Amino acid sequence: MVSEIQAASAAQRPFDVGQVLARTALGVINIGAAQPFSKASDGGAFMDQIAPNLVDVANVGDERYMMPHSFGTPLLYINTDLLEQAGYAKDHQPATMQEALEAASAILSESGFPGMYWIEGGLDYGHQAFMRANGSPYLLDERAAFNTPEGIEVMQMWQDYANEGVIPKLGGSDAGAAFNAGRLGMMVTSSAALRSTMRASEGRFDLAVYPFPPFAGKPVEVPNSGSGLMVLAQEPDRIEAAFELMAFLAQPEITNRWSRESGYMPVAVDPLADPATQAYLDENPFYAAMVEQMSNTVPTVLWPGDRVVEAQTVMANLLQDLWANEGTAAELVPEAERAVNAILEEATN
Amino acid sequence: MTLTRPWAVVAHTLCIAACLAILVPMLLVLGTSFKPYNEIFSPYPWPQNPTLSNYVAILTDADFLTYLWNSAGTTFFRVVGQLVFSVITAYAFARYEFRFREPLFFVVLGAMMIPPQLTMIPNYILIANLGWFDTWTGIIVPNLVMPLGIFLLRQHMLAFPKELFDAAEIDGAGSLKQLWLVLLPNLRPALGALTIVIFIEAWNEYFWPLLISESLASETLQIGLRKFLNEETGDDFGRLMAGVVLVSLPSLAVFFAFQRQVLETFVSSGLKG
Amino acid sequence: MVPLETVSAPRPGPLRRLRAIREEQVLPYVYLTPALTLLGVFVYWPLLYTIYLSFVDWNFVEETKTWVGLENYSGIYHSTLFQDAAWNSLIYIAASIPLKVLLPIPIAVFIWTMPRRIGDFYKTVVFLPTLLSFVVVALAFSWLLNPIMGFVAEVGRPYGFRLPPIFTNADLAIWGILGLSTWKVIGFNTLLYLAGLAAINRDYIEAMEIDGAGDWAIFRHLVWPLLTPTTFFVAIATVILSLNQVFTPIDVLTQGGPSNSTTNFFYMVYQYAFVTFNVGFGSAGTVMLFALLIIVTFLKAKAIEKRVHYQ
Repeated sequence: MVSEIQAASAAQRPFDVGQVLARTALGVINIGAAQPFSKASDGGAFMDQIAPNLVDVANVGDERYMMPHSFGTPLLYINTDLLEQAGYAKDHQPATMQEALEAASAILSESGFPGMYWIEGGLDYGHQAFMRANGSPYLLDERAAFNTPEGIEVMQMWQDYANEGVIPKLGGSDAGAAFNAGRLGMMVTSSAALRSTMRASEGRFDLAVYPFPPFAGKPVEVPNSGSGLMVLAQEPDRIEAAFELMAFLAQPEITNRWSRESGYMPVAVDPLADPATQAYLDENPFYAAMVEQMSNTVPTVLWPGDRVVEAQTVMANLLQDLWANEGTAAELVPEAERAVNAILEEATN
Repeated sequence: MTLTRPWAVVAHTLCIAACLAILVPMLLVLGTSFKPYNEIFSPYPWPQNPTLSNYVAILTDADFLTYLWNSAGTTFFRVVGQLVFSVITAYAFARYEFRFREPLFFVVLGAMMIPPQLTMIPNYILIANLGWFDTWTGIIVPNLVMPLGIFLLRQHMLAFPKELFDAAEIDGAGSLKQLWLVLLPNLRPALGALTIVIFIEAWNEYFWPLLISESLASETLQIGLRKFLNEETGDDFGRLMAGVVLVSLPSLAVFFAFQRQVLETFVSSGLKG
Repeated sequence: MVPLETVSAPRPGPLRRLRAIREEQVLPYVYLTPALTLLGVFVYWPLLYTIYLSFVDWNFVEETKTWVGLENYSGIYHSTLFQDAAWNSLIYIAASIPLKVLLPIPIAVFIWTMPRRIGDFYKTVVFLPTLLSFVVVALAFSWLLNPIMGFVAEVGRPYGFRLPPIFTNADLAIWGILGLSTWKVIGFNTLLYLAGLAAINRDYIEAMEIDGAGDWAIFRHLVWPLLTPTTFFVAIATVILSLNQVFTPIDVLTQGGPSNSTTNFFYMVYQYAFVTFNVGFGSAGTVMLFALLIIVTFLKAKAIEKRVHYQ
């Protein structure tokens, strides 16, 4: 998709409205292919119909460039058969991440299957999600800021539980396959996996889905995943038409219907004000977890500059090195922060 | 020739090991295509409750025929074009001495070293300027020359005894006639192998049509299969695998049709005598 | 590799000779024109354009392209990915020789010696991977080798065999990727060798057999030398394509990780150009990749050609 946009703008036949992964949004803005929302005839007021915690997903300065569209948020998926086997009630909902990990350890010792998986995704999406949920800012003033006690604590947990075998040392799709096979106790992964997981579990194991469990004593604040809409048109009349389309798509009836049909997170201000969505929620209880978490979902922060891949790779390698026991989190996290900042320094000058 | 016993044992052991390594993943693909969704992630490659629903879903898809037509058409022209250009170009390099022969051959060889993914963007701009966007022409023309094919045929032509050309020349045959009557019949193994390879490459082409197709006017089967990899409704691996099995059948047919040529022994046009 | 010598008609009259000479000089160029034109337009022009882009700073949309000299080159050279990518590229290329060039030779020769029916069976099976979409193959392998729900782990579990996670282990991942790409291309290369073997006149073999030569002697002194043009071809093609051939499994399974252990030049360039929109780095990397392949191919060709001549 990214290369398609790139090629299209190079050939001067851009898409008018394009769906862009949130984590590559800055790249699209960097190449000058996207239009700021202030160019809309209403000055960007159509964004008022989008939930306030989700509107600022891709901003540069005071300008907005992206409307949330196919958004996800990390949820807790539980194979309740394995949970029961580990001595818990089937409807036990872990109140905190620590409690969930305790249950995960019990699952490992009772069933022999790994107890829990933490999403990685897009090289460093998981790092950001867990560090921020534990209270580390991750990115502050265009520089990496995860070398904090909270950041180190989370990465140390990730290493310890992986060494114990509670968290399998696997990539996201492998872990998803293991969960769908009924051989992984829990996983924290995007709401985008909801429908396929429900279909895969049918007749194989009982599934429960809950909002992201907070780290003990910490507020829930999880970054979104997924993609939004950007205006990529370049000629004035097409820009205008593109913004009209955006304004149409921003209406709550439209975003709510899209959410119900696609399974993505709703993005309207109050989705439950829509009777159709309320009715849908009553029929699909797992959808409730997503709607409940919507208000705690915040925009993913993006590495600035045009060397994002390098920064993301440093983060991905941090986890891999921890899993390979090349050092402890207290040793490797500061190194990783230095490496990311060295890259950002060069990339933003 | 027939191998002596110890060598025959080695031969079969190696071949059987290779076949096992190949067939197990194949079986997984085939088996998954018959699995209902909730069985896709079971550890066993074969289905417990086999279903044809994945195949039915694809074959009843209204766009399927259009994809098939686009794939068949663009593949046909690419195969014919690549074969003709490979033969004629290799012939020039193998048969004649001429100025700049070596540097020109290196130009052909060098084209292999430029990964197509990396020149995609300048090519895309070019296609857009030529007005070939979303057309068969746009899919076919940039892919009409296959340096690998030229290189392969040249290697085979070099091994060809020149006495045969001399004889034909004395008989008064012109350059193209020599190619057609003397060389090509003897190149059947190489041409057979090349045809198979070109067909499969064209048929499975993914990156380029993905970039320049945007409607049913030119979308091929490989692009159509993308429908089943869809984050919104969950990747439909069963249908994807069924689609892959179906889409591979023409390649398999071409392989069977042309592989005879590959093992065809040296055609005796006066050589064996 | 002995080039075909120029054909000249035996003692023709002066007029015929004149025609022959003129044909000699013009015909090859006529034959070459269409292919070279197409390569020029769709391969070399984009390459030149890429070379140009490697010296400028451009964002694809604006008209202005600022000349920055070698800045993109030094930037990519100092990239945190560069060293790993360069080292892994050499591993990919070096390991491709035994796996993709040499391994298919015994397979092809054995198939060639077998009775037709069984040979056809083996040949067909070995060729099957070539037919399948590589994305799907990579997916199938990731399921098979999944240490929790995969078939291999399932079969091994009762015997106490524990499959390590291959694609998230920095020591194993590159071999997993290499194994997969070998699996994918081995049938193609076997087919090429079979086409080469088909050109060998079996009368020679019969003659050697009558002289009492054993299987190994026949292979060593007849088959192997006659197969060298094909071997040369496969070796060069493999070197050139080795980074290209591992692209899909890397992209599907590891994205260059874990800890950069599977990335290579090609994949790094792809990431710059198409994931982060860094046109300058992407173009500079493409040019460096092209130069690397030219050098390796040239050395390889020289090395092999020498041996071919002496045989």
